[in-house]
Amino acid sequence: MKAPFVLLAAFVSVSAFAVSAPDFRERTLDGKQLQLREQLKPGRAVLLTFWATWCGPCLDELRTVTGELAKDASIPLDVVSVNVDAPDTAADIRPVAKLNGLKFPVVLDAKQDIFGRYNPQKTLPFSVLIDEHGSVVTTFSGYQESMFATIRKAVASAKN
Amino acid sequence: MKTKRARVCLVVLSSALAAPSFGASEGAIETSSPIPFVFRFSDHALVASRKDPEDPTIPDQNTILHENQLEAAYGQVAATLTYTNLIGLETDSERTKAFVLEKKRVVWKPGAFEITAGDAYQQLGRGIALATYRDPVFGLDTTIEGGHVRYKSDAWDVNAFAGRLNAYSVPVAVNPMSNPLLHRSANIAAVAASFDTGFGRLGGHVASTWVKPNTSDVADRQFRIAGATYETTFGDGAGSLYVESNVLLTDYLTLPIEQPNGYGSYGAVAWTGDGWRVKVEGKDYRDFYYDFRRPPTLEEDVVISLNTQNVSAGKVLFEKRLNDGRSSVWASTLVGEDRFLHTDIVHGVVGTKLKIGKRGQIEAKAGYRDELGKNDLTHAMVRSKIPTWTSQSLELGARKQRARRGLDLGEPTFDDRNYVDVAYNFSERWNVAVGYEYVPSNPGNVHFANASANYRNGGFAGRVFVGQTSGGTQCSGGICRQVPPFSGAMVETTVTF
Repeated sequence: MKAPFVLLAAFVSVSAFAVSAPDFRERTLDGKQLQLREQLKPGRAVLLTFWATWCGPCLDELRTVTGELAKDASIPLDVVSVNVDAPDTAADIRPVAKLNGLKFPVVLDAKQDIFGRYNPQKTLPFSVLIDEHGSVVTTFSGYQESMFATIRKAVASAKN
Repeated sequence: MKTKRARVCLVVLSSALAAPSFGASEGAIETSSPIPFVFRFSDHALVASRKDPEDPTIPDQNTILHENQLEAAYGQVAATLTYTNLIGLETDSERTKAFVLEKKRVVWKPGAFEITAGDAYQQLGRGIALATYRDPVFGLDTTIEGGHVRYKSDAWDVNAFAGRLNAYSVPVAVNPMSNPLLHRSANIAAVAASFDTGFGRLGGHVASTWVKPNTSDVADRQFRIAGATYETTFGDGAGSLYVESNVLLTDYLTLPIEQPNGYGSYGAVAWTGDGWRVKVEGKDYRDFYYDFRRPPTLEEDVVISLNTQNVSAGKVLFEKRLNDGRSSVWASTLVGEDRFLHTDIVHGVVGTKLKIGKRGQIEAKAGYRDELGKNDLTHAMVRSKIPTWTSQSLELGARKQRARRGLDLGEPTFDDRNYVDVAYNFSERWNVAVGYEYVPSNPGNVHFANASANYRNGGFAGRVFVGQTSGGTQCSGGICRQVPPFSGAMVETTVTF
């Protein structure tokens, strides 16, 4: 009984660890296969954002990101969205994506396999900023109005 | 007890200390070389002290629930372990295991293949024929423990798997569901394939499940399911169509029972125009008595939609965007037949989401559901977000539900629930909330008050809750169940890195 707890506390206290983003390959809304590793490009970051059609803050976040990228196309950022709708709301994915003007890939994660690897507690919204080497720069849990400012700073530092 | 408290403090403190080191500092992208070996760890702890709301003489029930997930990956191979830890509730016969290795798997991904040995989630079609999944709200986590092979390309998606159904032994949730496989075990084998025909994706699946009681070595029931799916888009992507149909054959292997064949069909067509969308859905489930699924219900979360075996319904939803797409109004109507209750159903709902200024928002919804002549339900909710200072806001919410049951029995019963809550967001990282519920139809306590605080920073999230909730219907992801009232305190932390 004691051993698991001691081991657990030791793990939790460790501050040196790898922060690589788990790779995945899954079908998108347009029927193609998308592999995360193939989205990483030199000098650019990837924002991996998880959403569901019923999650209002998720859609706010997606609209914010879409709007900011439309205003400034020079930002070296690519977006990959992962939809996690269960069967009850799966019929809403395409219409909601279209209504919200989502232009980036929508990976279909109906079984929430990908979601579970990044966020086992499966809270939404949840986004991950990944650098060109596949390392996690930071995560955003919940809708944060300052998210894009953080992303801008991060990609600007990398450029410099 | 002191030792246990010390352990709790150590875990929670360690989680908090670990938090600032997760997630590189803002403004820096790592430029290190690719790390060939990846290690990830996640920790979820729930500490609860529960009182009996009706009898204060009963001692408090104290529990510590813990869940850890470890993943290691090298190249194309990844391994994952999930284990849970329970302290307390020793007298609970359903949750007596203190330390359990719940899930384990090794995945190898050579090219377009994905080969898994161990636990994996599976779903056939839209979950009518089979769905195994994780639901943290109810502590539900069911996988298939065995072998899985999948081939994925742009044109083809072929999936074959076989194994036993593995449900969580120690669910980490305040109101967990009972283990659906407590006294029995189930083994399943299935194959599914779909391909792009050029004018839509056509698919098919077959599955066979053998169920036996734990006291026997012989299966007493076999379920065989076959189904087909088709999905396509049209109108240059403005329209989409999905249809699925399944047949279920049930064999009682040890008893002379004849079970009628079951049928489960679902269809949805949607069209999106300039600032509006319409969706038409239909379901037809007949004698589909199979437990391991999560089919579309077409219902709102306020409804106890437990009947997914013998029910038919159609639903139309219309949504119109306003204010440059930032606001919306919507309405839906559902008409159906519930063959358990032997009644028709009608449910109309209207709703709106209005953005006010740059950061304000009001959301409202109201509906009336009639199980003609037997039961009815009136429900309404409103929620608003009012910005105050920079990155701060006030959230106000109110909800009302009034259900009448047994309208055809002369003396109907009422279930009347009223709920208000106020939350203040001090920043994007933390907030505090207070809630109050008034349930005049509750036979015991009718007033329920609670307070909570939430904090999140990078990979760390923490929550403290004190007070009471009335229980009643709680719905999550298409599942609804009755949860008992809660009175006490809880602390919950999650760390991921």
